[in-house]
Amino acid sequence: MVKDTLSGVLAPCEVLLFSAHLCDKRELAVFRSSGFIQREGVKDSMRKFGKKAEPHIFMTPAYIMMLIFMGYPLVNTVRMAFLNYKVSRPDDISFAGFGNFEKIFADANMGMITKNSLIFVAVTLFFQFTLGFILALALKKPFKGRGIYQAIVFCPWAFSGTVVGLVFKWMFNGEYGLLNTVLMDLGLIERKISFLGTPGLSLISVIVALVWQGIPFFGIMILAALQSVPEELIEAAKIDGAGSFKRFLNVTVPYIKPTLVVTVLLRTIWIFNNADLIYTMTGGGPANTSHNLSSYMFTRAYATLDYGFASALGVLFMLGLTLYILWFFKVTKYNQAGDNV
Amino acid sequence: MKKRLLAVLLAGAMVLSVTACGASEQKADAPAEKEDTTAEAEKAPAEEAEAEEEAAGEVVELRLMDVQGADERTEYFEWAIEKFHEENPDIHVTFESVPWDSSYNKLVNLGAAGDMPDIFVNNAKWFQEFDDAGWIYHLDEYWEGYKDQIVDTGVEYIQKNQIDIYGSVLGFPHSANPESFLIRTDWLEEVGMTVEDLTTWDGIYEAVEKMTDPSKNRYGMSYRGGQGGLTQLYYAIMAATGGINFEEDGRSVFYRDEVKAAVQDHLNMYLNGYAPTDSINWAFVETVQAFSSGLTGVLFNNADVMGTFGDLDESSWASLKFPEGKDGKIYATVGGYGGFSISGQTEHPDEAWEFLTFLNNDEILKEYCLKFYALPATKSLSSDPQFAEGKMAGFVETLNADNTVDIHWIGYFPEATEFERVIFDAEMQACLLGQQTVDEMCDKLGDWLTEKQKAYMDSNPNGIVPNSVVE
Repeated sequence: MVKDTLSGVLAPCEVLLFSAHLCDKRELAVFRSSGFIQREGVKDSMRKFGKKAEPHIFMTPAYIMMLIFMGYPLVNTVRMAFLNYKVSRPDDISFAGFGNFEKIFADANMGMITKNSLIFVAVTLFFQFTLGFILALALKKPFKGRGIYQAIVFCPWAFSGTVVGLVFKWMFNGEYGLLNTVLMDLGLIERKISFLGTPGLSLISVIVALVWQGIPFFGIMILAALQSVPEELIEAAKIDGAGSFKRFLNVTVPYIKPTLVVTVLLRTIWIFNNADLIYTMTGGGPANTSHNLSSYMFTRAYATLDYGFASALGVLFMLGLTLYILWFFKVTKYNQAGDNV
Repeated sequence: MKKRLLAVLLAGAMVLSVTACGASEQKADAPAEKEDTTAEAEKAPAEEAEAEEEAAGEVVELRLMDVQGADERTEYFEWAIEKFHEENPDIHVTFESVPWDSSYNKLVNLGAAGDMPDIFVNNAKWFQEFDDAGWIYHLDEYWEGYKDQIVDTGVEYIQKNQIDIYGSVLGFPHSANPESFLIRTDWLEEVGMTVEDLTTWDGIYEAVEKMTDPSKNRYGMSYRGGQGGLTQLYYAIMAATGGINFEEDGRSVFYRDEVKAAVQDHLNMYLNGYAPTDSINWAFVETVQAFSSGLTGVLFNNADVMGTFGDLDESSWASLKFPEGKDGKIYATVGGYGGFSISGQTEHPDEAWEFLTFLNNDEILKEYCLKFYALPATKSLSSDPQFAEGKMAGFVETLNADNTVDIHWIGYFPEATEFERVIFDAEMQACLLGQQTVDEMCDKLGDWLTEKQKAYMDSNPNGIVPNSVVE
């Protein structure tokens, strides 16, 4: 009985050791020859389990980090969304039910800010994607100095949002801004335009800055995907008599579709969550007209210290974006992407 | 089977003995020490001395955060810290700086994360929220033994603005940083006016109008339409109401006609084109840059901003005595002492206090006051005439004037910061954009303030109503 117990204990140890590559086959042979391991059935099943578990064992540090840095904040945000939670009142925290969500829907600014968010995401994404795609196509074929050009045009992606915000804030400055000077020198305007102080224009100014910053992301990703399209496919399409446009539409695009879908999806989420540019350039003004949901949440959280309200807004973001992702995958038929070439 | 079991047990014992090796090595000394008591006796004092030496060599780390990020200030604080280190080698202070416009967010973030700097430049408007959150160390014990070194106005200020309201000393009286108008005297002369014409609010508005000349790219006012835009208007409102914020029943004075008229006068500076269109979004940095770069002729700010004007010709501008209200009195904040706070999260309040008192020694404080146009809080420096001359003259005249009335801030309810940072700015900007009238704006603000003040009065029957007592 003792032997059975020991062999039962040692079998999974052996599998774990083996799967973790901590001992080699010769060492295992020693264990086997000792006679402890006789239950081949258990051993096989544990070995299979170990095989399956192996990647997860190696991923454990990453799982722990994700739990700490993503799991905990996520759960805590959901928890706080249902609490009366003001940072300045740590002794006065109570259950709020749906009170914070009611406050969101009762906020007079919410309609305008939601509309702003949708415009912000749609317009920014459209221009980033289109210009990024054009950039990738332009860089696909080798030419002299391509490396340098590539390095320069990909630079904006490396800048922080705050730096980009400050640069564009000065460019759009109504009194000293570069843009006003250029437009006046060209004779296109007679009086200076207050880009950041006019409703509508202030939102457009932020969009321009974000488009500029985000083009390289699409450029890099799409360029990498384009370079992975096999030449044989293109050649085959040529032989079949397909013109360049048809080859692009029916061969290239379907082949890189997984990249396109994922990049568009990621960028949508990032743009939706973008608050730093708005905060730096306009502070959401004038009169909240350039706020998106994210920057509004940021402003409210800090001005009121009402983290319950801000968390409720965050939970709604999360739900909205999750629904969007599911819808997007369905519409773009992501599962079939790349298979219909 | 028994042999195998024995083998396993023996193997286990061997493993245990191997893993316990480190411990047995440490414990191995013990019997030897017990055997040799003389050696132990000799060793003990040596170890104690070593421990004491270690303790003596242990350096206490402090973090100091300035919230008015500017190169000149960084330079000053680094100099002061270096001096402090020379005298206090066992305390090490690290300096951090953050721009004014993002300082509140930064401190809130750090406070919420339990990582506040040990010492930070505080703002009296944040006391309520920060104190509620436990982010400010109460200085009462230190204060009792120190207040004799502070000027009388400073002691009165701490009593009225901290102890009477919050029940404790929350800010260390370092220097006074009063607010007033700064004006381009050369422009003023060009339009045929003098500083003497600017003793009333109407005089200020007239100068703003006359100095505006778009053909020269000149505007009268560094208008603050963005964050912090309430402050200047607030003084104008106090001048209109005689320092009253709320009626006896808690209704806001924003419903009063004279307040609506004061708001209209203030907004007219923007609406009539006496300020750049962009200024609807301007906050601290933009208003100061506009004045120092020669775009605008009048700036309302604290005195310390005068140290950041860079190349602006010294002879071309001056500080003004605060304008009088219609009743002939000046409604201003007298003092503004209490610039530094010790964090409620600090582990070294004694050392932090040590550092703060060091900042108040004559050499260090004098350098600060001369460099940043501040008024020293200590008696030993207060009689020095150089602090009341030159650019500081206007500020000092305001503080010393017989007709000056010390006003309260907008209210002591916990949402006061929200009003200043979110509610007011958006409503004023909507008005500036023509989306609502002044009447609508004032009624909305009045509703908001009334609701908060009444709730505060209900929950704090003995709380302070922020109305000034005019003698």
